[in-house]
Amino acid sequence: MKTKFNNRRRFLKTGLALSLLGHLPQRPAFSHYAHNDLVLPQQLQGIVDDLYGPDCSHIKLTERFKIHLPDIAENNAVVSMRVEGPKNEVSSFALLAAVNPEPLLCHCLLSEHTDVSVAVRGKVLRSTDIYLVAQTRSGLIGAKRHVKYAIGCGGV
Amino acid sequence: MKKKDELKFRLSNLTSGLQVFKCLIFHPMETGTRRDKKTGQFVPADYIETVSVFINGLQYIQFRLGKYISKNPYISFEMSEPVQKGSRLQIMWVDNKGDKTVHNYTIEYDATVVMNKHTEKMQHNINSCHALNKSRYHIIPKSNHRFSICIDDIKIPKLKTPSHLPKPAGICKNKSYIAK
Repeated sequence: MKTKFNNRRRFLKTGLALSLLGHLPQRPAFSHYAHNDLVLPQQLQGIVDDLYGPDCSHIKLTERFKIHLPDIAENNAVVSMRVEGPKNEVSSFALLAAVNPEPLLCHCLLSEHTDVSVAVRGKVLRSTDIYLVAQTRSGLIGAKRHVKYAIGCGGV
Repeated sequence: MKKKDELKFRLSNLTSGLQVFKCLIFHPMETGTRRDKKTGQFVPADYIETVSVFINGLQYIQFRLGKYISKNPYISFEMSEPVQKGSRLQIMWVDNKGDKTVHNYTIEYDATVVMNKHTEKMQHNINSCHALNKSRYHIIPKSNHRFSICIDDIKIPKLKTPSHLPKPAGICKNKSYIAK
């Protein structure tokens, strides 16, 4: 009986210790990103660091800035892109295509005389996400949109 | 067909009071990764790196373009203030070889015009040229007026079949009505 009692005590102790371990503060992956941050792929992060400095790592995801793209790009050599946003907030922005060997499509420096309604035409090698990173007074903001490149009835 | 380093552009008014600047630059924008079909050699890279737009000496916008911008790059942006008459417009770009192309214009009329082009390559002297009035903004109301046709004026004469000709043969389920 004495051994049985000891085993039971040991079992309860270990169970209690294990349950307490589960309540310890955890640090999951990407914990340094807030839930409304734009997470860039690794190959784009270096370009954004070159443009805006390594200190500006947090890119706030916003819906005020929009990328107008076709949902399906029939001609991947001519994909029209237009960026729209509120006035007098953005000093510069960059458009990036993740799959291209050189992802920076366009970096645009705006003055006080121009509004944020800028259009360019770019090439994408295959279906990709187009990222917008813009610099404002309060920091970096960003947006993301997917464009599908379809050949015939399929897609790449 | 436009030659390399030429451009065409338009300044147009919006209903919101803003002005849109649209520009199409004629340039091959070779990335350097494409092979020539005849020789099999790589076509050397030839693309525009920066495009700047100046109005009266002030830089309005600067584009730093990458390799993967389409052939004959198109850029457009909106201006918060309309461009005044007599303003000097300068569009300048530099390609990856360091060649600099400058286009200079003088804006005439009420800033809704398409200007005559004047190209200077590797020169920095500004020679203004006069503008031509090809305003799309003013032409559109006139062209719409052309379609306002009064239908009552049109009279379509009725065609009458001559009496001496036989009646045309027809197909009917009831055989008694078939003309022979």
